[in-house]
Order: sequence, then structure tokens, then C-alpha cells
Amino acid sequence: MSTPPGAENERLADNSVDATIGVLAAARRVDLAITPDDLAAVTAHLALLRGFATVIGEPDPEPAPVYRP
Amino acid sequence: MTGTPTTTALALAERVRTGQSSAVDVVSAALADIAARDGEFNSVTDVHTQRALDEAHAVDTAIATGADPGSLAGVPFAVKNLFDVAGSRTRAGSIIELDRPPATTDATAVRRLRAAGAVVVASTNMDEYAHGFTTENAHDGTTRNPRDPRRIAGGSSGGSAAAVAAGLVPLALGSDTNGSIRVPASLCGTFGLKPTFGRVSRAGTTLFVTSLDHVGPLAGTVADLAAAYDAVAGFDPADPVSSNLLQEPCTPVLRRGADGLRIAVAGGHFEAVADATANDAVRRTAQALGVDREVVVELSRQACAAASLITSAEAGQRHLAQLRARAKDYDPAVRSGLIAGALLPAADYLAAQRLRAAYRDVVHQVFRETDVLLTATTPCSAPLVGQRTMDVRGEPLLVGMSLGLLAQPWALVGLPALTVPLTGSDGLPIGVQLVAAPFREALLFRIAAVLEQAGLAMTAGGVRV
Repeated sequence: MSTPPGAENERLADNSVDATIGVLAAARRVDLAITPDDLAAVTAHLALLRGFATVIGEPDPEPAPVYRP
Repeated sequence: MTGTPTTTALALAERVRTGQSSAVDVVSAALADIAARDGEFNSVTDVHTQRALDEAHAVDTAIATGADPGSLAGVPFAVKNLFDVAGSRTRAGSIIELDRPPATTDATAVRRLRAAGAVVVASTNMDEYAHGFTTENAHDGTTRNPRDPRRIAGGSSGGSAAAVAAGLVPLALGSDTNGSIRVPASLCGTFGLKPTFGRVSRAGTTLFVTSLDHVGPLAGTVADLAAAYDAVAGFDPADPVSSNLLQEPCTPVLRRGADGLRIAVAGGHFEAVADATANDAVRRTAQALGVDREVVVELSRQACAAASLITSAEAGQRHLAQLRARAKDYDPAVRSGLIAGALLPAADYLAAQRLRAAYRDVVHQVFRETDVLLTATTPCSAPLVGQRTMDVRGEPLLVGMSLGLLAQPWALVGLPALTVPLTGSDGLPIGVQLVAAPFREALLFRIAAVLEQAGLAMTAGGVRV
């Protein structure tokens, strides 16, 4: 596991109400209960992960990950 | 025999093979040393006493009957507790796995070391399910760094690295998904190898991230590392990702030197997220090798992000059913990470896989003109136990998530990477990472041997048997 360097960590860990609601909705879709004790940590962690997607941006569709039989 | 001067795995094997020591005496001494000294480090979670003594006796019997006992005859070794050891429960640092029955067979890597005569004496502490870089395990406790017990050993193979650095065993096995062999090896001051993806079988291990997991050895010397690697590497039909490409043994190349090899320092990302101590170690290594060329590997920062996304998504999916049923039994820090991974949108995972494909092309282009790259292994030397952030060039990085920033990119594309332990300018161990194109492990061993012979590498604790 890793994270982009520096202050970016804090920017990415956006623990907003919207993000929390989003986490609960996503958890419901996969039939996963999140306890109140875990909610903040999961929300912050997911925000970090979504931040990684921002770091990646939109890679060129080619070369695409492919299945090779 | 406990307390005699430091001894390498190969020196021990030679003593056993020539009858100067019995395997039973060597293994008994190792077991006694673990009992006497590991309380300070907490590197070991399970001791396989009876099994180890039985195996050692079998080695002695083989020698007595004139059979070849193997290149590692009687050498005690330890394994991260995600490797199956027949007769013991494979716990992967979790209490959930206590419900599993004991393993009935050894993991392939364990079996191959045994075939070379080595004897598994212990399983070692780790981050739960290999999810982490610190070996601060909520169930088994924190493994402390033998070089400075106030500090972490790193992770997730922290117990294996600490056991070697402390001299409890001369060899250990670990697993590496984003740096989990190389990070603790760097922080504890041992050699460690993450082989090419598919080169060493993962059969019989508890996987963390299917598309990123590697198995490899840790040791106190280059020759011991090569002997262990040569013993465990090779095709295994029991591992679906195992490669059947011909394996080049690395022990024979150790005296070949580095002349003619095209070596470069990796700049850019690899310099930017390393502190002064780490970059100084790279500079000293380059100087010792006469290297003045620098290469920037594009997309390396994005590769770290992609590795984190793939890790989280695959691990979260792997644990989803168990999270539904037994969430409260996870280490809380691991639980939140796994849940977050399980909730990641597919678009993010697929973008990470596209980046991975692009990065593979970038890296392969670099290795058309370069044989080996040098980088620091970790951004800094070992943080203190419980430390949450580490300062790297003025930036506060999260310890638990950032120690692998220099190791992750190579794991993402499956390249072999060997970490050489140096003494940092702060007096603590710091690793320098040697990286090559796929299946070119022999090049890494040649350079590591040159650095060791030049006196640049620090020595491990040395076993006392």
C-alpha cells in the first residue's frame, strides 16, 4: 500500500458528509455492513484511493489490459 | 554451541556436511537461541520444535548413510506465517485463520528448501494478511528492529527480516506485494530478493493480491541469498502464474563481477521521495560501481498509485465474504483498508490496469539500454514504533502507507529487485535496491556480490549456532 507524497495526502482524505453517504451506499451495493466505529476510517481510506485514481488520470486506452488464453 | 562467532548459512551447511557439527546440534542451538533472545524482538510467532528436530535427525541420517544431504544441509530457516508448514496452522497474522485445520503439506518454497537440506524452525510475525509495512500486528504484537528495538522492523515480512538481522536464523522466506520483502530488509539491514513475478512458486501461501504477490528469500549475505533463491526458484504447476522459462542459477555468477554491465541511477520519482540518508546511500553505491548515469523512468509516481488501487481492489474482493461474516475479528486498521478496497469503482481498477500496461512498456524500453537500475529501497531508515508520519524532504508521509513508494513500481510490473543493506549516514540500516529486466536475477546477484566484497554492505547479526 502506498500514497502520493506529502500534503496531497490530506487533500485526498476528504472526509465530507457526501463522501460518508457515498461510502454507505457503496457498502449496501455489496451487502457489507460498516459499523459506526469504522465509518470514518473507511471513508478516509476510500478518499485516498479515489485520489490515486486522480493521480493516474485517464490513461491511454491502449495498451489495454487483455486476457490472453 | 550457542554464542560462537557469526556463521552464515553456507558455512553452517559445510560444517554439517563435513561432520564438524550434527544437524541436530545446529537446529537445537537455533531453537534455544530463539527461546532465549526473541523476547526482545518478537519476530517469531510459532516454533516448530519437534518437526525441526525430526528433520535435522533425517539430515544426519542421510549423511551417515553416504547420501547427499543437500547444499543447505542442516541450515535452520524461518518463514513468514503465511507459508504452509505441514502440521501447523497457517495464520497469515490473523486470528480468523486459527479456525483453519493445520496444513497437511508444505508450501512449495518450504518443500524446496527442505529438499536442499534446510530445516524450518519457526514461522514469523507479519502485518495481518500482509496488509501493511510496519509489522505492528494487533494480535501478535509489534516486531521490533534488532538494530534498534525502539524502531519498527518494517513489513509486512517484518518478522522474517528481524529474525535474520538478529541472527536467530541465517535465512528466511517472505512475500512481497508492494515491497514487503524489500522494505523490512532495508530497515533491518539484511539482503532481500523479490524475484521476477512467476519465478518462485506461491503455492501453499496465503495470497494477498493475486496479480502482485511474489515469494522470495532474505539472508545475511549475498551467497546465502543466492543459495536460497537457487533452491526455491523454478517452475511449479501448482502455481498458475509460475513461469516455465529456464532458470539461470545465481550462485555460479557471484564472482563474475560487474564489468560491462550498463548500470544507472533511477532519478525523478525515486530521488524525490527519498530523504538525504537514502539518496546518500544510492550515491555511495553508484560511486563504488563507477556509475554516473541517471535515468528517469516516466510514470513511476502514477505506478505507485496504480499499485495501491490494484492492491486494494483485489484484496478487498478476496476478503469480501469474510468481511461480511467476521469483520470484527480483523485488525481494525486492516479492516478499514480492505473494506475501502471492496468499495472501489471498477473504473478506477481498470484505469490502474491500463496504467500498469503503459508502465510496463516504459520500463521495458528503459531496460533495452540499461542492465540494472539503482534506487533507495525505502524513503528513509526505520521509523519509531508507533510513529504515524515520517518526514521526507519536508513532506510528512504516512508511515503505514508510504514505506513502499520506491519498491511498488517494480512489483507492479513484476521485475526482479534485490536490496543491499548499507549503514546509513544516520547510523541505521538503509537498503539500496538493484532492479533488472524480467528473469535477469543473475545480474542483480553479480552487482550485490561486488558491493559486498567492496565492504559497502553491512553485516547481518550472524547466527550463533
